[in-house]
Amino acid sequence: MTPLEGTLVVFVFVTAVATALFRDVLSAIIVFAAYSLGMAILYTVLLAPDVAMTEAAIGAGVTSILLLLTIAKTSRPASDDLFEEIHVPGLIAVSALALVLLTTVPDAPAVGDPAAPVWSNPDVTQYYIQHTYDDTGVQNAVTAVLAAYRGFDTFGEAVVVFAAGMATLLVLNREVFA
Amino acid sequence: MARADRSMERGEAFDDTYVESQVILTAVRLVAPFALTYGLFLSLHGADTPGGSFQGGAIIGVTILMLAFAFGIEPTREWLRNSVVTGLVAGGVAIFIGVGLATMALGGAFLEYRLFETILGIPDGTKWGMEAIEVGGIALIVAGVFIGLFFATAAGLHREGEEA
Amino acid sequence: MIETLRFWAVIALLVGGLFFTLVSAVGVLRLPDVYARAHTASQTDTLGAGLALAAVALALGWQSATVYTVLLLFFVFITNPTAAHAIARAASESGVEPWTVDDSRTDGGEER
Repeated sequence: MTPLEGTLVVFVFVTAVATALFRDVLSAIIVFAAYSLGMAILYTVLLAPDVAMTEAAIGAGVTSILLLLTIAKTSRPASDDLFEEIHVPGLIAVSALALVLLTTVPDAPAVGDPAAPVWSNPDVTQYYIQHTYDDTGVQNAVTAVLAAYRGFDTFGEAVVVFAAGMATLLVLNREVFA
Repeated sequence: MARADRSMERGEAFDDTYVESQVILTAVRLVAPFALTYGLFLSLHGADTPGGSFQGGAIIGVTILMLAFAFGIEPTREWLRNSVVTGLVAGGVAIFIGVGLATMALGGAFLEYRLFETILGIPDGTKWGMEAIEVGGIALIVAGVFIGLFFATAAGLHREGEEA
Repeated sequence: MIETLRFWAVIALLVGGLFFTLVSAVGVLRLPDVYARAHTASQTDTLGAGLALAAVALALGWQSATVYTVLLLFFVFITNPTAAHAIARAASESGVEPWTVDDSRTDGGEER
């Protein structure tokens, strides 16, 4: 792990914990935006620019704006406490889950390991990498998988986004967006 | 101007109208064309470079949100009518379904782009079919839903018997 | 000759960027009120990141990545002062009084 990655992991961890602990809603939203920005940079370092762009635009941008708008329209409960009280049974459950997940980390292949199953798998990853350009004529394999090989899934996702927009109108008891 | 924005700008407690800031307006005017171009670039060029219509649509949506913050929500709302936002969202889904059904009409499976090339004779038909659902479908849906969510949240809950 | 000059120019720009970043980090912790802090926080982005990006552009030399860096520099120079202005403006409109010398409030700064 390079120093940059280490710093980013620590930053993301601290902001994530701070988001959960801050009592004030506004502080939590701001720290959450910082967390999203840290994740976006981490994705870039891990060579996933597509995911990084999504995280920066949606996690740090749209989510923060919509949450800020929500507290502007509702209320921001005042409190003297800086931090939320820690819920001990919840903390124990989360720590246990984190511990179980962390035990799998030493067995995970290194980043960029050519022998990693996810990469060397001849039926999935290698198939896409070898056949994408001949099959579809596009150079970005991610786009090809999303739009062509798994077009039906993407159609489902698009309809889910559409349904989410409509559901917001239903919840707000409105008939128009404006 | 734009009295309705004040609730969004700094909560209900402060009683003053939203005054546009010359500095923010100028900066947004300068940055918005670049942001919009970047969003369009990501959508249109996603097939060959990192990026894609989801990211591109999100950035197009965020550009509108930025304009709304600078110019006030009400003027933006008047400029971008409900029919436009609904048209973006519903039109995106319609284009997506339309492309899928078109390949079925040509005798293939849902979204079998190859048929655009083999039957209709469009060069690189697979690529253009994917571009159609990426740009015409997902980018429009995502941009429309973001703008719509923003306007809907800014307008708030519509109670019975109250003017929208 | 010109390479040595470029090398030292990159070093000078980087040191300048680091200096402004450090100054503004100290400033955010030490300055008394929101206006002073907004002023010093925008230094990190505008001058700290700006000078560092200028150093990167100079170090890269003539290639396409330099164009991206200069574009980034351009946007950093536009957006960050605007953000600082927006923060100060929002504070002013929600009625925050600027800190003055004979003000008893310390507002997170050093106790007097």
